[in-house]
Amino acid sequence: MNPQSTEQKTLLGYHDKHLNKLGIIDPKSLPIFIEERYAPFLITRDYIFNVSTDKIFKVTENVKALKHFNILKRIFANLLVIPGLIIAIVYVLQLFNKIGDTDSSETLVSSGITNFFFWLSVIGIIILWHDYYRTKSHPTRLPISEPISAKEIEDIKMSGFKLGRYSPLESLYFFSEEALEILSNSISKAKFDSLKLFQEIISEPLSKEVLNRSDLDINKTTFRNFGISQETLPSYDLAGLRNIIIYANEAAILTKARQVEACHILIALFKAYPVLQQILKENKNSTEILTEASRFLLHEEYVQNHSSIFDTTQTYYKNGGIARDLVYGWTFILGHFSSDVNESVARTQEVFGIGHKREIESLTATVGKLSKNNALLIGEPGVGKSSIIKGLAQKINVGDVPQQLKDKRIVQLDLNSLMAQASKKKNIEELIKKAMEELTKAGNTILYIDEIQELIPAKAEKSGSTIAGMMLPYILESVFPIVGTLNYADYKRYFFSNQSLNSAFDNIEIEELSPETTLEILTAKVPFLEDNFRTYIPITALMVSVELAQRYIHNRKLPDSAVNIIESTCSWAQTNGINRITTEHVAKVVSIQYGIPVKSIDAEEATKLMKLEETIKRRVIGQDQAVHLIVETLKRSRTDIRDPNKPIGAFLFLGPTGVGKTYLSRVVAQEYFDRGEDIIRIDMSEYQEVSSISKFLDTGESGEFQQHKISLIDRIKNNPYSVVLFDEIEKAHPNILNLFLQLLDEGRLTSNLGETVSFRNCIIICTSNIGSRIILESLEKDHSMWAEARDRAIIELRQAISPELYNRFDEIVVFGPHDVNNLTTISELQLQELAKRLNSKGINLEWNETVPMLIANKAKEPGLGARPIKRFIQRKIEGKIATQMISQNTKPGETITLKESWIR
Amino acid sequence: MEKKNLQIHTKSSNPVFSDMNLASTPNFLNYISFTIKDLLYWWYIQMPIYYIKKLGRVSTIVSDQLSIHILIRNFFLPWKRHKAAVGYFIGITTKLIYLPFAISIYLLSLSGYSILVITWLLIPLVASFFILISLFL
Repeated sequence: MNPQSTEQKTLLGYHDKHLNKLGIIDPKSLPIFIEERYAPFLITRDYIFNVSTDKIFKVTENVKALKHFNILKRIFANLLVIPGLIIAIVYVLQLFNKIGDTDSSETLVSSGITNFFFWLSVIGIIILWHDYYRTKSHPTRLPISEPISAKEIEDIKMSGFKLGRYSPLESLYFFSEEALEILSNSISKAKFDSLKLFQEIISEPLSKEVLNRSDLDINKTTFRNFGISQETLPSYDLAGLRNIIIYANEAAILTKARQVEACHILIALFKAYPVLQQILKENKNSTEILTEASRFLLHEEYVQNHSSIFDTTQTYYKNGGIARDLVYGWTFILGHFSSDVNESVARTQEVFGIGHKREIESLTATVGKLSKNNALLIGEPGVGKSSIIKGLAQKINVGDVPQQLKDKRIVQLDLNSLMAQASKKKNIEELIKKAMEELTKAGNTILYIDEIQELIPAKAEKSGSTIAGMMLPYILESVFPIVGTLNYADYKRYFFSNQSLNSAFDNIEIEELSPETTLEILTAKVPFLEDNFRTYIPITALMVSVELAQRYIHNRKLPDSAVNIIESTCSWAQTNGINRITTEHVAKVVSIQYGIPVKSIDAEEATKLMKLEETIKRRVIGQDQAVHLIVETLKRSRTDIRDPNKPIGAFLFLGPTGVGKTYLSRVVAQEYFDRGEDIIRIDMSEYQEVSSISKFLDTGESGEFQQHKISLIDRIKNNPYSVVLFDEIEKAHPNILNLFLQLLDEGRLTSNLGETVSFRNCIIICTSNIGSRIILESLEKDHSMWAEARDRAIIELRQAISPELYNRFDEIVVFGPHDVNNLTTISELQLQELAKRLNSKGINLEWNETVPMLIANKAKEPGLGARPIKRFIQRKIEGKIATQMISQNTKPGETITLKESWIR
Repeated sequence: MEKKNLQIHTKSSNPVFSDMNLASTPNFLNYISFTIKDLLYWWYIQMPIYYIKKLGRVSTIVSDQLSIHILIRNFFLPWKRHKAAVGYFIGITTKLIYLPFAISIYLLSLSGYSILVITWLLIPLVASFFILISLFL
C-alpha cells in the first residue's frame, strides 16, 4: 500500500544548460547530478523550487560563520544582563528591608552608573528575546501545495515544462536552522561528504524518531552488513548536493511540513542512494513509510505547539460561549434518554470525519435547510457513519458551519433508555410527545438516531403504535432536523418501500474509505492508543493493519476493520506485557481473532505446506490427482500469489457417490483453516424452482413474524473463512447457477436486500453426479479405460452446464470409483478411528492384517463407493464389540481382538 | 495561471540569506549591522502588526466566550423560548443584568492587552533614554 495520496503534488525536473533542454526526473531512480550543466528543480502547482551551487556555498559558509557570531552575541547579551540582575536583586532586598538602609546600598541603587547598567541589561534582554523569539513569531513557511491536475501533468509529459507559469522560490530558504547546520557540517573544501551527512542525520533526534517509528534500526552492524562506506556514500562536488536539497524539499512538501527538516534530508538520502534503498528493501521498508512517519511526527509537534486558541495561525470559530443556553429552550425530558454529541466530542482531542469531507458538507447542507431537513446516512457497517455525525458536531463546536447551524447541538436518542423510562412510567407515547415538543421549542437541536430502523419495530405496550409512527408527523413536518444511520439492507427493508418515510429524508450514501485515508485515521489515533495501552506503535504496524483489513476482513469495511485490528493488537500487547507492536504481532492477532493463517510463512509452516499434499493423501484414499490439484491452489493462496478479488479456490468435483468428494472438502477445511471439519454445505436440490433465487439470496429474517433462520449469506457473514460445499449443483435452477458467475468471478454475492457478502476468503467446492453412470459403467468393464471415462464425463458435464460457468472453475476434478485396494485402506483407516474411540475409554483394539481386506471384500457394493464400509463396520464390528464389552465386562486396560468370524 | 505573490519572510528575517551577507565573504561587521537593523524592524514593525492581529483574536475570543454577541443578537427572545409574558420578562431582565458585567470584562481585557502592547513599544525607547540620562547627568 502506498500511504501517499494518489493526487500528485510535485514533479521533479532538470535543466540541461548546454542544450537548453528541460526534462522530467523519474521518481523511481533519482539521480545525483555531479556536472554543473544539469540543474535539478521541483515544481508544485504554483511554484518552482530551485537551488544553485554558488548559493549553497555562500549560505553554508554564512551558517558556519554565523554560528560563531551568534555564540558571541549571546555571551555579550548575557554579560549585559548580569549587572542589571544584581541591581534588581539588591533593590528588592532593600525594598523588603533585608539588607538594612546602609549608605553603600542606598548609593548603589540610586547612582547614575547603576541606572546605566540597569537599563543596559534591559537592552541585553531585548537582544536575547529577539534572538529567541524572532523565528517563532515570524517563522519561514513552505507555501501550501495543492495537487497538480492530471491534465497539467499530461501536458508536461507531452510538451515539456513551461517554467514561466510558476513563481520561483529558493529551496534553501525553507530549510530549518538545524537542517542548514547539518548540511554545512557535511561540506568541506567545496565538496560535500554524503557519508558524513548520513551519519549526522541519523543521530539527529527527529530523524532518529522517524527511523524508530518506521521500525528501522540503523546501527554499526547495518553499516558493516550493507557496506556503507565512502565507496557507497561518496564525496561529491557541491553540485551533487543540489539534488539532495531538491529531494528533501519535495519530501517536506509531501509531509505537509512548514520547513525542510533534517528528517526530510534523511528521506532524500534514502531515495537517492542505492545502498540505502537496499537497507529498506531488506527490512521490508520503504521511503513511503519514512515519509508517513515524518508526517506523523511533524504534525504531532505542530499540534503541541499550536494548540492555543490565541494562536493567530489557527482559525478560531465562535461557539456561542458560556451563556448561549440562555437563548435556547429546555430539553429536560429528552435528556433522560439522550446524550449530547457536541459535549462528548468536546471532551476528546480526537479528530472525527477524516476522509468524509464530501459527506459532512452534504449533511451540513441538508440539516441547514428550512424544509425536508432530515438526512439518512446509508452505508455498510464500519464505513464511518457515526464518525460523520461526530465530525459535524466538532465543526459546530468550533463554529466552522454556516450561520443557520451556528450554536446548534446534536442530541443522540438512546432507544434502550427510552424503553427503560417507558417501563418505569408506563407511557411511552407521552414521553415521546413531550420530548418532541421540547425539541420543537428548543430551536437549536438536531436529533440523531443511530440504527434508525430500530424505531420501526419498537412499539408502545398499550396502544401498539410504533415509535416511528409517533414521530412521523414531526419527521414529515421537518420541525427540527433528524439524522439517522442505517445500512443498505435495512434501508431497503424499512425505508425504500415506505413512500412517506422515504420522501422525508435526504439520502447520503457513505462509501468505504480508501486505504490511504484509513492510514491517516489510524495515524491520528496513534497518540490516544499509545497513551491508553502504554505501547509504541510504528507506522509499519498501522500499514499492515490496513493491508490485512482490506484483504481479509470483509464483513466490516474500512476504516473500522483496520481500527479494530490495531486496537485489538494494542489490547493483546498490553495483556502480554509487550511495549512495542510489530507487524508480526498484528498478523498474529488477526490470525487469533479471525482464525485465518495470515502470519508470514516461517520455517515450521513452510514444512507443513510442503507436506500438506502428503498429509491429505494419507486421509483421502485413492484420489491423488484431486488432492494434488487442490493443494497446489492452497499453496498459491498461502503465498498470496492468487487474485485477491476471487475466492481462494473454485473446484467442481465430479464422480459417483461415496468416492470422497465431501470428505475431501472436510479435510481441506481442517488442514487449511485449522478449525475442525466444519464446512458450509448447501444442498442445491433445494433450489430447483426459479422462485428459490430469493431463498438463496436471503439474509435470514423472513416472514410475518420475523423468524430467524440461518441462510447462506448469514453463514458466510459469520464465517468468512470457510469451505463452502454446493452439493449436486446440476439440480439447481439455471438462474441460480447464473449467480455462480458473479460468485466465482468477483468473489461476492449481493443479497435480496442489497447487502454484499464476500466469498474471497472461501474455498468454493461444487459437486455433481454428472457422468457418474459413464464412469461406473466404463470401469466395470475395464479399469484401463479410466482416462476415456473421465473425458466422457467431462463432455457430459459441458453439455449440462453453461460454458461461462464451466470456465469459472479453477479445476474440474473427476473422482474415480474405489477398487478393492482403496477400500482395504479405507477399512484400515475406519478401524483405526474405531480403535482411537475405544482407546479414549482405556480399551485397546487389535486386528490382524487380513481383517481390512476381508471387510473391503464383504462390504463393497458396486456404485456406492466407500460408504458401505462404514455401515458394515458399524453393523458387524461395533455391535459385536459392544456385546463383548457388556457380556464379559471389559475393563479399562484390557484388549479386544477383532475376530475374522465376525466378518464372514 | 495566476501567480501568487506570497509574503515569505526569509531574506528580511534570516541573516543567513540576507543579500548583504551573501554578497561578500562573511564578516562580523555585516552581521552586527544586520542584527541591529533586523531587531529594530522586528520590534517596531513586525511585532506591532503581530500584536494587533493578536488583539483582534483576543477581542473575538473574549466576546465569544462571554456570549456577548449571541445575547445582543437574541436580546428580545424569551427565557428558554417560553413565549409568555413571564418568559419575555425573565429573558430580557437576565440579559440586562448579565450584559453590562460581560461587556466590562471584555473592555478590561482589551485595555489590559493594549497596555502591554504600548509597554512593548516603549521599552527600548525608555531604556535608551535612561542610558543617555545616566551618561550625561
